[in-house]
Amino acid sequence: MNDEKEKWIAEVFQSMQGSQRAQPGPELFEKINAQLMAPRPKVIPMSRLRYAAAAAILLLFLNTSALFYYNNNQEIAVREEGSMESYSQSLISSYQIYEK
Amino acid sequence: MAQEGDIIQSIAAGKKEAFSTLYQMYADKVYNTALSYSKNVEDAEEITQDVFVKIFKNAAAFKGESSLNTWIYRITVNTSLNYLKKKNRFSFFKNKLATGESVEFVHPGVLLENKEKAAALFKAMDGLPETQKTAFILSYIEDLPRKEVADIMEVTLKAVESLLQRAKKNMRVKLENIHSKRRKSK
Repeated sequence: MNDEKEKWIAEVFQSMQGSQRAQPGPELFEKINAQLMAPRPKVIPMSRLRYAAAAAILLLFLNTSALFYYNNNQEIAVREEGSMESYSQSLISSYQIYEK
Repeated sequence: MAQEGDIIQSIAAGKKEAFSTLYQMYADKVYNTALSYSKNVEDAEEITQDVFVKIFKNAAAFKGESSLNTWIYRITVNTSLNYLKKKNRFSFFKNKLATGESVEFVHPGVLLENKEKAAALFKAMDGLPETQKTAFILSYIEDLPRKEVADIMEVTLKAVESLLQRAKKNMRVKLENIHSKRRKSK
């Protein structure tokens, strides 16, 4: 049985001897020529895409921070306006120019 | 050799007739090698197409440091390996069909009486490391001399011998399994 197995394995290793080369389809050369003639598609390089992504992230960051500072300033302004009003109110109420 | 140099120079100059001559000379070698890697007719044709497009575009880069045969085989081996890697990477479900693994492949050029054994040979080649597979395909399927295999793979003759030994050892284990399964099924 072992001899039979050894013989079979040896034959498997030799099985491609005497075989012919496979040939591609006859239309393949036309396909290759067509590919060579076809206009090259415009390829955007990865480096340019990276710069674009970085610029977009930077813009987003600037816009977000601008919005954040604007909102903060608004709040401060409203608070300050409120305290000024109460101050003038108290000033007016204690001014008593025409009081006897 | 001088004729080969003329052909490649004419291709570099954009002459289509020279490219057609080169295609006639090498299409079978390129296709057969690509088929041994991919075990799929459509993939082998796509690889062959890629190889000839590369040859046409890079003809000017051929300096004649190796023979044209070696240069073209080198491009074919690299293109085949890259194609299979890419295909494997993009096969969403990672099924084994992507790399041609475990597919019963019958080489179209094999003699009728050897068909079953050749199918076992290709099955045993599955899972071999790239270098061992390349050494085996170039030596036993393309039937190239060891020296040329070494030139194509850019390794020493000794390294090729060692790769072939290891490839055969690994394949032998698989063939023993195939043989015992075959006996059980009979």
